[in-house]
Amino acid sequence: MERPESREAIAELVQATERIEIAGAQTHGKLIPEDDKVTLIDMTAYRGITEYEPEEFVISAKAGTPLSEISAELKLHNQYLPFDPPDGSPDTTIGGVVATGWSGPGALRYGRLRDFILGVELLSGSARWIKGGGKVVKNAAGFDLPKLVVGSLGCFGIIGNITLKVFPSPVSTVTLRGEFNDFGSCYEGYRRVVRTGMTLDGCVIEPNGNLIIQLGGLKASLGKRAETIRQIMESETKTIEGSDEQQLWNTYRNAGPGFGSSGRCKVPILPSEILQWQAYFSTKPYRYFYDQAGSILVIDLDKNMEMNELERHLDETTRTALCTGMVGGPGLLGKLPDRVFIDRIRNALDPKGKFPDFNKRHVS
Amino acid sequence: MESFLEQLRILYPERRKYLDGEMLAAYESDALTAFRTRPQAVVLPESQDEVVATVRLCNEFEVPFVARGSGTSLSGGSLPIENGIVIALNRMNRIKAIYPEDRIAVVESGAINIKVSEAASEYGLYFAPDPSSQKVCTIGGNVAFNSGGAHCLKYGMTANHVLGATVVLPDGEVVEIGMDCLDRVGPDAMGFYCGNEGLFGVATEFRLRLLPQPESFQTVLAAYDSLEKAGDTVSQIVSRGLLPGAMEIMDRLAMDAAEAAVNAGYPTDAAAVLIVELDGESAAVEEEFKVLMEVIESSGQFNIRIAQSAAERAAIWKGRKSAFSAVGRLSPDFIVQDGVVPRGRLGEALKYIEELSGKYKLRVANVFHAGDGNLHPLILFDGRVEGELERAKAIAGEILQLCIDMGGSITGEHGIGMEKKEFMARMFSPDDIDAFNALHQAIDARKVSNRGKML
Repeated sequence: MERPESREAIAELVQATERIEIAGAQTHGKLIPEDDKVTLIDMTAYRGITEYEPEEFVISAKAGTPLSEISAELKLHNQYLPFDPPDGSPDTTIGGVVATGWSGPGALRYGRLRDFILGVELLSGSARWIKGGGKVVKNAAGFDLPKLVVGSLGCFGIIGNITLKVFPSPVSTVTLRGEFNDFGSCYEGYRRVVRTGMTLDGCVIEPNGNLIIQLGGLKASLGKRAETIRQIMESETKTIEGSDEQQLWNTYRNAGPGFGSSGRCKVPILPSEILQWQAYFSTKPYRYFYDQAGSILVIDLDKNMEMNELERHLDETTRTALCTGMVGGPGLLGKLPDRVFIDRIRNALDPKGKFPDFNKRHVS
Repeated sequence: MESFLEQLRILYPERRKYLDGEMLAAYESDALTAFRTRPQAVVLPESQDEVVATVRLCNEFEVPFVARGSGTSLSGGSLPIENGIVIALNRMNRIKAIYPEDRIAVVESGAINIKVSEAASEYGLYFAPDPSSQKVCTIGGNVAFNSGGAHCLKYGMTANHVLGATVVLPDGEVVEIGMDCLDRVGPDAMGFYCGNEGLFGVATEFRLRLLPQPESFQTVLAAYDSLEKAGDTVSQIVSRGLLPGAMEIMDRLAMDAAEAAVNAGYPTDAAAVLIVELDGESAAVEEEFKVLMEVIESSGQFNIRIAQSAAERAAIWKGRKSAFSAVGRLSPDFIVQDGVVPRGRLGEALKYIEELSGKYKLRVANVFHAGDGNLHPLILFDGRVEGELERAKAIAGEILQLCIDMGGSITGEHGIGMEKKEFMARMFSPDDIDAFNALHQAIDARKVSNRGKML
């Protein structure tokens, strides 16, 4: 395992090596190289916040910088990362966050990771550092490499420096948990809430019939808005605030209700598919929940699961999963619908195939 | 070429192909009127099959093509290529479906931007990207250039509202890009596709993300005796933790133009006006408005106007949205720019532009997206007067260099197109450009798709 500290060292390594896999802090699964000819590059020594201008809403950091360090620095200026990345481990690196591309429950409010990445430095198969994007929130020059690396799982090259747009932290928040008698009425309650078009900071649906809504904004208006939601839900509703509230969303961000610790997967879906997934789960012992107002299905993974069966179902429904926490590191289950276009990009950035193929980032 | 044109003729009926005559002239240019090229032919496909057949033919004969929406590009993006053809997408303008539960619109690439919002409004939804040309510009054009508009700080650009696309790549292969749901796994190929400036083939269909229409707006216009005060107010608003939907500034010259063109009714004695708009739930906006007014009232303004109705809101915006076309009232010619500087350095940048205006003795009107540092200096000149075009270009070049020097960008939303190609090398290193070229090569080996633009 190599652990380079500088751009030059990283470039030299890629130049000299035929096959490479990239590791951060491996907080979401231990990476296992395909064979002993693969060099594992540990990026955790390439770290540090390189630039932060709170008035500009922009922060830049090297890929090996712990997410926790970035979040702490932002907090000092009442700012945060609106895409709400999983932060269960203090060691998780920002490079890992970007390469995995998992945005948490709070992304419902303003957008996902790809909506907040402004610039990136990438070391591709050519062993040359290339820069895409920039440091300003608006930029239309050149191809959008920053978006491309989001979710790229280390298959396009090594991410060096990352520039992100940040926002002011919500001043206050409140969470409501609507407790319905069954999933059906919970689903109807969820539809009623969404139809109002109200701005939600979080919206989770649990299979046991709980609907959890978070509101954020100025304290003076929260009470009124929460009351509106309460009335629309028409259920037993509990208000959750303070540390209980933080803990609750921590669970959804990093795990799930009743989840184990083997790993979990995220399946982007359409809200209109929820009832079909309910039918599928009715014959399975899985633990799961719906995040971001029904657009993401999060499933608990454990070693007893029939991954092949889940994969078959994903193929049938033309959906794809990102699995994390598994031995081997984050990987895909199911097919990527835009594989052909992605392959062309990969051939351009890594013609010699130094970095893994997306097939190899595949979980089984 | 003969053989190519013969085969192209066969693909289209009479009324959907122009191979000679005056009709070709209508496609010679786009909103960057300084450039003009007559295409060999213009075709108007009505189906994906026709687009595929046309692109394959172009690829086979290595005839360059440009896909064109409404030709509103301010950077020459839809300018025809020498000896090439124009594939005009205006017939493929259907809004195929709206899925209100999933908040998705499926549209053909020639669909008009505002019409998507109009169709979605039936369900209380809208399409957020709102470039000033939205009454005529197409979604295909918006995606090709990752169009912005006044609401980008809070809502992002076109790329943040496109989920998937069906694309005919330059060699004729049809591919799907994106995952058609709000999030995805794997690399963000759709995000990468946005802003390709027509180099990545022709998209025929898009799946778009819709948002709920804000329940309420509060739109405020404040007048200042200096641009600096207006700019400082923006910084203060931001530092109070507010995220307005839009923050726009116009200077005296831009206001004069708007007045002449649409009777905007802006204060005639102001050196600058700031337009701030809050949007969202009524309860939230009500409270945010109190904070906003605290800031504005003590910001050194001398006049505040608050929109009391939808009509008044529209009136405040009318002047701003017409600014570019309005400038035509003040001057026979102009160059509009699109640089970005860090927001905190806007005051500095504007001062420098004022100095340039004095140095080269040409007027510059300023309109900008104050929230995100995106400047639109409008350099006014008269092409009939010897030397003015050159001086205008000189100012333009110095402004772009300023943006680069300040760590900004040479283009916030209009794209590189024809106009700013030479500046790519100042903003990007040779290795960066090599990588862009390698990507370009992998997607368009024969360089037929909008050849000569951007790179």
